[in-house]
This record gives sequence, structure tokens and C-alpha cells, in this order.
Amino acid sequence: MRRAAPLLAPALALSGVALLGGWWQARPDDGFSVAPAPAAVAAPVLATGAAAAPPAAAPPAAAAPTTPPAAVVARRDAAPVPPRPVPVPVRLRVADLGVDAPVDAVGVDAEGVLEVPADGDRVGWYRWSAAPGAPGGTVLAGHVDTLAEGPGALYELAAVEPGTVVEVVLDDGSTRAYAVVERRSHPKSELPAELFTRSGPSTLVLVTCGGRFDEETRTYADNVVVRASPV
Amino acid sequence: MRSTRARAAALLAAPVVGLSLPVAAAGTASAATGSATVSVLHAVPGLTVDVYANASELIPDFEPGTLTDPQQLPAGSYDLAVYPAGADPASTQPAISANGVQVPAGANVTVVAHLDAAGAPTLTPFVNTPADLAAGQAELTVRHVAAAPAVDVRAGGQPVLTGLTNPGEASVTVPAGTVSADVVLAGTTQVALGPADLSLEEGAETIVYAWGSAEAANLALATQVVSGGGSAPGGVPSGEAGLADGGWPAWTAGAGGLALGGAALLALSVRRSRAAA
Repeated sequence: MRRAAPLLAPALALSGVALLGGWWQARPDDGFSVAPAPAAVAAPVLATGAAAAPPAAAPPAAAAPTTPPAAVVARRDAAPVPPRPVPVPVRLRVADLGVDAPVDAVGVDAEGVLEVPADGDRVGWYRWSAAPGAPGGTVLAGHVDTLAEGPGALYELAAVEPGTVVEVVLDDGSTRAYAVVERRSHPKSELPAELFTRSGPSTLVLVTCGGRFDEETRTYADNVVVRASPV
Repeated sequence: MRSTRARAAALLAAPVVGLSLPVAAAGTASAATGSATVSVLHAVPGLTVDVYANASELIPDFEPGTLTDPQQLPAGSYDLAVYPAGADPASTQPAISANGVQVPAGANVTVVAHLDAAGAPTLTPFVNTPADLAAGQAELTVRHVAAAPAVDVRAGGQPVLTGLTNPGEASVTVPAGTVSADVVLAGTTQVALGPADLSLEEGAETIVYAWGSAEAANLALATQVVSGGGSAPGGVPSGEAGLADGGWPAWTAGAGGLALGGAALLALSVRRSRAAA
């Protein structure tokens, strides 16, 4: 025992360093967020000056307001407008990650969760999120992996770097290009609702799973969320 | 224009009605500033008008079938008066008027100038209250503001709102998307209006007005969309195999720490025993 001790201490120390170092190396990183280039910020659609003119001052509630806006009020024909088809995504390409996946329009299932295509090689466009180029977030979600096929279309998403070019092909044959500006992991129950907003700058939002995997429930703990701005 | 003026003359006999809004609207962000969101729909056929609020012109040259953008107005009491376009309010009787219309702070209101069931022009303020909607759902609200009997509203051939009378409204929650809707006389399959393809926006309230006059055969639809009330999906389940879990389990860090501690203790005890020897 006494002779073994001098060897045992360094061996223990080495294995301790290896275990701690390995754990530290393998832990998920914090992601990144960079300010989009000025050109990438889509100008928000502003209301016409007439409609946006605020009242000068709010009188006491009981008093009769005497100063309605003087400017001409904007108005429109109220007849129902025939639904106008807008170009929708049919393909997602991220050359740097080797992603070239067909895209399906999807909604929510009976449980109210996003219907990610069961085929891990396909990506879903949440049809109630913004169409590409429209105000708000265009949400594309794909499997990181499936039991049937192993790694899914977005397997590499957690490794994406700032500035990576993402292309979305639309059903009218056009292509929209985006550059990655942010990557974040969120616990699944805390996925920000504002990712699904239909107002504000036009943004591409890619979502898959990541973080720790629970073998019992066969689910990941986190969602990996990547945002990209138009270029 | 001549026929418009003739029509206006016929409207002069419209009585002045006092209205008060149901103060059902909960306070929203604008409540703090004491303002309300007000839209105005002109649904009296055949008459271009000027709309006055508290004796100030609010909407000049307002044509039937048009809807103003939502405006922020100070909350309070409004005397509304509708004159034939270009008429001098000082010397003309209003075609329609409503005094003491209460616009509560924070409310979202649509004031509709329309015909009542008997065909007389009137003003009705409706409070827009978008329902809380699950992801993928839309709210369809129908308001009967036409000179017409009770109606049913059908979507895809199925009645979704029944027995609606002027100036009533009813709402239903349906999956978002495009529906083919028509209006039939209540309890019948006799189509009064439509069908029309309606785009029901996800997470929003689409308000459809049935307006005009059955007798004059000019029934028409008008639409307004009020956003708010929508939800994001409950989650994005997008992994099932665990292949992407490259992390080391937490116990590896714990074991590493224990091993380092053990090594330190061993080294100490070895040094002590050497010193003792």
C-alpha cells in the first residue's frame, strides 16, 4: 500500500483532470448573437402619417374631447379581398453545414405543438409564421435526429457559426439569402413566443433540438434556435 | 352625384339616437394614455358623407363600403353626426346622428353607419374583443348590419353562426385558412349573399359585416381584421434518437473533482508518513 501510494496520487490527479476537462470541453456552448448589418434590417412598415397622428392631449375622461385628429383619415375598400397566394418555402440550403432539404408547410398537431415532418430529411415551414420577406419571423423546424434514419436535416445546426449563409428556395423559383446572426439554446418549455411574431424585421428562424437527451422520455432538453437576417 | 343627394334628402328624417358602448373592453396598453382605438365603417348604400365628431369634421368624403384605418382617439363622450358630403353642418340636418357615444379608454371600437332591419340609417358602435386563440386557430365574427331578416352564416356549406339579426353579432373559433362562406336566410338554404372566399388570419379576429339592403338587392360583405389573441405553438419536438447529445454526463465532472481531491489527500498523507519516518 505504502509503495503504491506515490503512483496512485498522480494517477488519480490525472484522471480527475481528464474527467473535468472532458466535461468542460463537451458542455454545450452559450451560442452567440451579433448585430445584423444595417442593410439587413428591413424597414418596418409604417402607418400613414394621417392614421398615426396622436391626439395632442388626453382630456379628463368625463370631458368631451374637442380635438379629434385634423388630418384626413386613411380608409380602404372593405370588400373581402380574394386570398392572394404568396411564395412559400420549398427548400432549405446551408452549404457550410451540408444542408439541402425539401421544405413542407406545416401547422400544429392535436397537442398544439409544431408538426415537424416525421421524415428527418425534411424540414417544416410553420405556415402561420411569416412568409419569407414578410414582416416577422419565418420559422423553419427540422429534426436533429430520428430513430428511423439517424441524423436529421438540422443535425449540424448547433455548430453553426456567425455569418453562415442560409438560402431558402420559394415555390415561385426565387431564392432568398440570409446570414446567421444568432444561435441560442432554450429549455424546451421556455421557447420565446416572439420567435413566431408576424411583425417587425423580416428574419429567418431555424429550430431543432439539442442539449441533454433523456433516454427515458426520448426527448432533448433544449431547442437550438438560429436567427438569420436577409442579405 | 344627383342620386346621392336625392338619397341624402330621404335620410334627413332619421332620428337622433343616444348610444352607449358596452364597457366590456379590458384595459390595454393604451388605457394608460386615456385613448381608444376607433375605426369607422360606412355601410349605408348610395350615400357619400362627411362624418363629424363633437362638431369637428372627422372623415370627409366617406364612401359606402369603406373602412377607416384604426385611429387613436381620446377616450370620452362623442356626439357623432353624418352629413351628405359637402353639406354645411351649420345649416343642414344630419343624415344620421348619435349623441353621447361613450368611447372608454383602452377599448377597440368599430363605429358602423348602416341600415337597421327596416332600412332606416343608424349608427352602431361595436367593441372588438379578439378571443384568446390556440396556435393555428382563427376567430370569425359576423355582424348583421343589413336591412334584411335574420340570417345564418355558413362556412364550407355548414352553418357556423345561426339566427343572427340586425344589429347583432356572433363569433366562432375555426381553424385558420381560407373558407368559402355564404349568408342564407335563417333556417333555410336560400342564399342571400355569397359565397365569398374569406381568408381567416391565424391568431386574429376577422370581422365580416353583412350590409346593404335585401329589398334594394345591394347586400354586400365588408371585412375587418383585428389582430391580437394568438398563440405560438406549444413546442417544437425535433429530436428522438439522442445522437446529438455530445455532452458528458454531470457525474463525470463530479468524479473528476473527487479524483483530484483524493489525489491531494493521498499526496498529503504520503508526505506526512515520510516526515514521520
